[in-house]
Amino acid sequence: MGIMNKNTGVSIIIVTRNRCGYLLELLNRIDRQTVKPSELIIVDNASSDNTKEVAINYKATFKIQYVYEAIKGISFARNAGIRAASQEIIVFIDDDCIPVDDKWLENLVKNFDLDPGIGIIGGMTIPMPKNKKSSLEIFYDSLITNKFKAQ
Amino acid sequence: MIFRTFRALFRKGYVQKEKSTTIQFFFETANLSIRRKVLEDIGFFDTNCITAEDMDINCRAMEKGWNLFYEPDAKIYHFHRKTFQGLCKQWFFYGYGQSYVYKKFNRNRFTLLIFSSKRKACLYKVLFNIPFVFPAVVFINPFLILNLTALFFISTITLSSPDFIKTFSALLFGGAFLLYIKKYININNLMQSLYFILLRYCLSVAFVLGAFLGGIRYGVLDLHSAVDINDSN
Repeated sequence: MGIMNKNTGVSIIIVTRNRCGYLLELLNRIDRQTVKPSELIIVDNASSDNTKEVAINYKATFKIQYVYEAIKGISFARNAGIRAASQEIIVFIDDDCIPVDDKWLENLVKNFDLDPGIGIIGGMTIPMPKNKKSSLEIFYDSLITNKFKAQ
Repeated sequence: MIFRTFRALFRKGYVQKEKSTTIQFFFETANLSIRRKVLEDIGFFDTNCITAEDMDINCRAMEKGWNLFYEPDAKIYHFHRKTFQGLCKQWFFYGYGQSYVYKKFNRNRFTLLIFSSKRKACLYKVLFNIPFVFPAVVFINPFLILNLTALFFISTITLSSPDFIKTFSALLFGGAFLLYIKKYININNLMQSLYFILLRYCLSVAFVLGAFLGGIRYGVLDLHSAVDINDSN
């Protein structure tokens, strides 16, 4: 880390707890990205399910590192991920999210080349579409997308 | 925490720096990329944050002069909270965690903010931000007015006040109620919009309660209603 090396690649950090089903889907989606990360760090924040098995056994086209953080707390887990990361660009994606398309990572990190003064780049978060939604889910959508649509 | 919902109002590009961190637009860590250099410069995530660690890190980066950039083409889907209790709990802790960040950045200042539908990015404008004996962040909005007038109305009828005061308080409360529902009511689908207004109210209560209790815990007066949307577009 940081010893005159030019690790200009991307480290993705996923913090997760007890959501191995979601995690698997997320890994599948990341594996399909047009731009691949140099490494992916899965920070297991004290899970009691099969998170470790999913993380260790996943065969991806990039390196996967499994980190266990016993202290429950999002900041502790994120910091454990940062300590394990070796690349210049660090990307966070939550375990209850998935990229919409295969260009998510490419689009997210490309703008760093525009200006060395850009420290943080954020993307858009959209509620998961479903064919049939409960009223609660439609309401939740209206909160996130900032649009009130009656159905 | 309201600001995460206004993503749709932004175009690709640099994020404007606000006068007060209280209304600063920020990126949530669900979908964020950051340079290692920034973390080496400002430090890692603040482990005192229960939630709002993303708000904290964005604000610290901005204070040190780093630019924030928004890329709407980097899209992710987010799964829903499945239950009403789950949503309430989520918003309660949004409020709770946010009060710590307010305390951290506001130091001993009183910030009064007022709801302004003209402000696209953050919905609020700063009325004043002055040194004070303790840190305080108060948002004046339809939700706060509704509850204050409701309290006034209830106290006048229980304290057997003169009739004209009762009528006055009832009118005030009625006006505040109309102001509150006006934004969200949809004539074409009355039942659903009423149900949504009720849900929105409950979530606001959860958020305000979280913000207030968090404020007590961290030593800041935090009066905030979160579940607002700007439907100007």
